[in-house]
Amino acid sequence: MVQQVVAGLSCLVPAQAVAEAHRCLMCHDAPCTAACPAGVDVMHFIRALRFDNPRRALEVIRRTNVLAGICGAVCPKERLCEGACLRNALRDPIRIGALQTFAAAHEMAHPRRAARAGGPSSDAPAVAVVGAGPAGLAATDALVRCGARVTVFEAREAPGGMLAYGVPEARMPYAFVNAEVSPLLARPGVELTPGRALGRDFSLDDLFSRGFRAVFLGVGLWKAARLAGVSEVPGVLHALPFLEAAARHARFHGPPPAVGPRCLVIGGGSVALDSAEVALRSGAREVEVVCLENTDEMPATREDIAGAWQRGARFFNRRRVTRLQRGPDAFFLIETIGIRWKEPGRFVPDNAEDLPGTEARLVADTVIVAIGQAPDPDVVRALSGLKRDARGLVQVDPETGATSVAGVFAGGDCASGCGRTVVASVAEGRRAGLAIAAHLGLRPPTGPYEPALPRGVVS
Amino acid sequence: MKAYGMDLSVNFCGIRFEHPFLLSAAPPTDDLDMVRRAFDAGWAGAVLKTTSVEGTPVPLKYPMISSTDLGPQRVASLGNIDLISEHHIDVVERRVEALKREYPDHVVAASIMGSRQEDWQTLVQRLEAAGADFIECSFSCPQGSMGERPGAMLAQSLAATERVAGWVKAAARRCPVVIKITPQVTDIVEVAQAVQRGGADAICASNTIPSLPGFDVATRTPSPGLDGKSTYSGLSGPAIKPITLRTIAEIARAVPLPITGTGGPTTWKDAVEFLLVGARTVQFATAVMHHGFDLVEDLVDGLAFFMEDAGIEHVSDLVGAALPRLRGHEDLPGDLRARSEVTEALCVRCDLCHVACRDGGHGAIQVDSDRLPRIDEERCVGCGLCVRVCPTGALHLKVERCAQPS
Repeated sequence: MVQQVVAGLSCLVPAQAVAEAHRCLMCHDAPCTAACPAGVDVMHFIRALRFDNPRRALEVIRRTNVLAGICGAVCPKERLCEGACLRNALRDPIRIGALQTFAAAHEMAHPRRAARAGGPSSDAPAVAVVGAGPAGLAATDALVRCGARVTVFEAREAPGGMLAYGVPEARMPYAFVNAEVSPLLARPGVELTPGRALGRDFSLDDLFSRGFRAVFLGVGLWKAARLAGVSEVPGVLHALPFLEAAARHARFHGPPPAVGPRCLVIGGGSVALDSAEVALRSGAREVEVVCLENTDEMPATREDIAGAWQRGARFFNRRRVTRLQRGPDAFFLIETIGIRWKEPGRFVPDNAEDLPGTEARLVADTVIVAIGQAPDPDVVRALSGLKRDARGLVQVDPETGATSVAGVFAGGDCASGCGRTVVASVAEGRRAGLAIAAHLGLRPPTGPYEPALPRGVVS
Repeated sequence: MKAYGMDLSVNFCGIRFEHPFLLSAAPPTDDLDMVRRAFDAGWAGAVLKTTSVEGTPVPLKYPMISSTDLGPQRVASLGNIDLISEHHIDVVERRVEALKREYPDHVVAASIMGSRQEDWQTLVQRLEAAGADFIECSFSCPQGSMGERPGAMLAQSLAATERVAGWVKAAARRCPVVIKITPQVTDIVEVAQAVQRGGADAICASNTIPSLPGFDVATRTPSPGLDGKSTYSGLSGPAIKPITLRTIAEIARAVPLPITGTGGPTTWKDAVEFLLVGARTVQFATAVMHHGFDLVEDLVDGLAFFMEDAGIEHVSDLVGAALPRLRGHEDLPGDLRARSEVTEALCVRCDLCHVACRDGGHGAIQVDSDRLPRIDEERCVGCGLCVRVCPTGALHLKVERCAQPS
């Protein structure tokens, strides 16, 4: 297979990228861009690749998506840009995601030579970004472009959020995340403060009393949602802590996650499939995935489902766990039943109806619940002054990310819920970043030749 | 305009351009609103489509455009049987005035064509009065431009070139006079010297090339077909770029006149090549007709990134920088030993290199049991054909200097 590996990630080689870019029709008012949550100007970035200009391609992408390379790899492309590609009518859509990742990888392999001084002035307004995940990073990028100074507070040791502590190494190597994220955090005017958690180490009021003029909350959802009748059984694992343990093992010298030979994963989203994959890579011989949805109804991407299947995961679709108990010798006995959707097309638990007679029992050594995430209790306490919805999500103005408290903005999973995409969080972070800049009287950069990266950025 | 902090400005005949990219005299500049949109998109200047004195017949025929494809690549070349603008000097004067009023920092040039001394001189005087920054004289429309015989181009006659250039120059008081020539001559240097003798200030090299883009073989209809008939087209676009580069290089080596380059550029890299062989500015038409005015962003960004990477401060440092590297064949080194090498990781084992070398080279590439090409060091002369046909860039030449010419 012809490929190049850049920062651990397999990417197109230049000849492939140019050939792929040549296939692009360069449609006017292109639907791929309309289908991108971040509004990446796909046609112009592909044209730049076609015309021997990978640097410009990356600048065009980064105008609206600072995580260009990462999203190109982890986006559910077939539902977004590639699904909208008009070449689907010719049965060969452009590999937009691969091209986007190529542009980012090219810059990593050929960093900008010039170093120019610059960045926000010392009297520029300071903004606190809480959380160095996709939303926080995108907000940071937007704010710095508009001339703000940004301090990023990250609860864990390293930036990336779910990209660092959730997404498995095999799907997105952390070296690549780091290569894309570090230059942003190294920009003049940006400061990263790792190991500082909202609610544990500081409060919202602390930030304002320290002189920050506005706050962006991109704290994510890090607490596992509980499945009644299952989660409370001792020894049952939850996906996020499991994935975090695996990520820490692969990336930050943590101990390996413990998985038995027979593993059951409950859930049909990408986190469930990531858990299945990690279990397989961590020593499980058999991995079974039980979820309410059929294959074509699962929130996970087709690519991920096929990948998990190829690596040995087996699926029990349209089925739910009714009871779980500890058997002798520490394994689990799981009772399941088939379901149907009461109302077609609405794939949510309260729309599921049991089908008597379809009961089936399973056995597993390890059970991983992957049915969603909820806000961290520390964060919930710290945000008690903000309006939140029934699920505990921060209520925001969808256009600006503004919360019920003046000067506090939010985006990403903590405002929009889990089970979405990295690129959606990037889009929300960027929108909020621009709104904060406007709130502070800063003007967004304008003009076709405005630098997409401030001067002085060298990786 | 500072692109990525780089100053891309250039000077051509004393006229400052924000960057070296302008629109050539062609359909994109034959409408006032189109030129406005082009300037808004970022073009540094425009040569308005060639105009003539009132009453000059301009019998346009449609369809007028054809093209050649290269596999899936559309418009590898564009052919046209277009003529000069239907809009006479009275319209173009008003366009020049409007554009100079609305875009004082953009370069607005007018292209002219006449049949008599009086026409040429009237055109230049009126457009100069309207505010044009320079006057380009089309001596090279492939449908004929008052040459010495019907259908012939003026620039194909040395005497006519010198004479008409002299008329225009004599009539111009302020404007630099640029002569747009054709590559369709035996010796481009003689033409450039005739331009110089005529006293013109600069050369535009070069216009479209007379061509026959092709046929619908089922109906024997040449393209573009007008009720089954056609005529020779002026060929433009990517296919003619190598010819243009040679034309510019020869002129730049022979005469000291500044050159504005045109004929086939699409990308910033193409434009840099034009600069390297001596063009000071680069004019675009076909690429814009294919991709739209915002193509200029690719050009400006590309040039800026290139200069940043290469540590080049001024565009003028690029102009003509490669000319010393162009030599006669007899002056090229004879002591190089080149050999093909395969990068296995990039090879997909199509073995097109084997076929090319077997039937078009020296039979130096064998295929092993893994389908991997193996270079026979003894038979390989280092011609480079295999490198050219490899679809994945898996082949390259390793070049060494040897003690004795091989």
